[in-house]
Amino acid sequence: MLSITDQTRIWGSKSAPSLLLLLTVVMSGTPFFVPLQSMPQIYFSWMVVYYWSLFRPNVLPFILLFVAGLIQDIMVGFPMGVSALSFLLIRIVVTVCRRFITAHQFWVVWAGFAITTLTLVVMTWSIMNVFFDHHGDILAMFLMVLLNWIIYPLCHVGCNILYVKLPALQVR
Amino acid sequence: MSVFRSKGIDVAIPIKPFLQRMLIAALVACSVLLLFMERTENGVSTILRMALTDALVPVVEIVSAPVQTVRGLVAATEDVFSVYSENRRLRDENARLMQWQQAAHALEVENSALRGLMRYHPQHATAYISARVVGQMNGPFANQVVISAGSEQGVKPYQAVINEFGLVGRVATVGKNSSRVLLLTDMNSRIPVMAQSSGLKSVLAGDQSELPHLRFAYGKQNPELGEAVITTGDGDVFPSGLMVGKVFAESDGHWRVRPLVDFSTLHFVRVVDFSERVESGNDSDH
Repeated sequence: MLSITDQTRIWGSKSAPSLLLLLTVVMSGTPFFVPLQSMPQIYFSWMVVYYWSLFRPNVLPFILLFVAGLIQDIMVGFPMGVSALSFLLIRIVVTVCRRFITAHQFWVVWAGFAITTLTLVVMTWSIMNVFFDHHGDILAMFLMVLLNWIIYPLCHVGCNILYVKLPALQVR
Repeated sequence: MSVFRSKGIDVAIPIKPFLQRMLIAALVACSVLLLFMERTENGVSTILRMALTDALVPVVEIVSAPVQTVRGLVAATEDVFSVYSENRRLRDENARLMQWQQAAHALEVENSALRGLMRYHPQHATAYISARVVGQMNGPFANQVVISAGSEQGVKPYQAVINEFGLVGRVATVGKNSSRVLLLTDMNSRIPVMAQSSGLKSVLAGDQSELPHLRFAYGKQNPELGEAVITTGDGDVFPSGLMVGKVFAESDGHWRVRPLVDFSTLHFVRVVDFSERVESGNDSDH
């Protein structure tokens, strides 16, 4: 039988990705008071969902993705349902393709993220355009995709550290 | 996997994957349903959004606490280095303001005397509700902030929000203890304004860029570059005369306005409660 310390450690290991996702979602709407108002938004939450859907899908339950999506919609001012749908779609699509993506080197994972981000931005833009008549700046959106794609390796390395440091997550 | 017996045949149904697929389908359907509810501007979605915002505000405050601390430290360090030059600047400014104070006092006396002669009573009294910015949303789809004051503090939808420099935006939705404010630069923002010197009336429209533009401008002449832009008070939603920005440049056939407010460093704001009616006594002519 496992001791309370081991049980706590395992529980902590399993819930760390979920807590990381919730933290990134809350941080997406946190004011940082830096003069970068025109800078495209960085969605760390998309990166976290992509990484864990790829390498350990079971640690992010679908219900959590839905709730985190609703929180993100409120934090970033999207119509409710947009981010929830985005998170669920990342999880569904990535889970289907994970065997192919993880079988290759890092650049395939990175390219996969670029395609996922581009798809999500186009989906979000379409929803905002069709449903809400918001004609967002297409150039700003592509800059956003580019910036998120450039930043992704940092997030990947961070999640890798978490993946390796937590013993219970080493087993696939 | 569960096993069911039907007419003597064992049927194996993978219950867990089946239930998971059903759950995924249900969650996707819920997301789409929420989108439709937002589209139809259903009251339920607004209530849900503001209830969640109210619940999230304390969490955001905890998460942003280290940022606030660092910001405070940086500001304090900057103050130490600039204290001498700042002191000199403030002395000069104070001397200038003393002259303006005397002029303003004389004008106030004259104004009240003229109001008495004209038997004029203002329709509105203005009250202010101070609040802190606890959430910020910048991106290609929204430019909004969440403030720490809601219906319990007297905030109502469509009220103007200002800071020490000028107009910040307007209240979009109100929760119990928090509200969402649409910034001037948000693509949904439309504010009736006027160029102060030329008298050109227009609607200031946000388009997610840093420089909102003037739409449906009408007047005798074009505005001049650098001319101050103020609210007109048309529609009786905003008070008139709130400073908005300065005419910056003309591009794509539109005059662009640079807001006086720096939205990236918004910290404290004031909600302008313009709805209070002033008792007019026995006078009937306004």
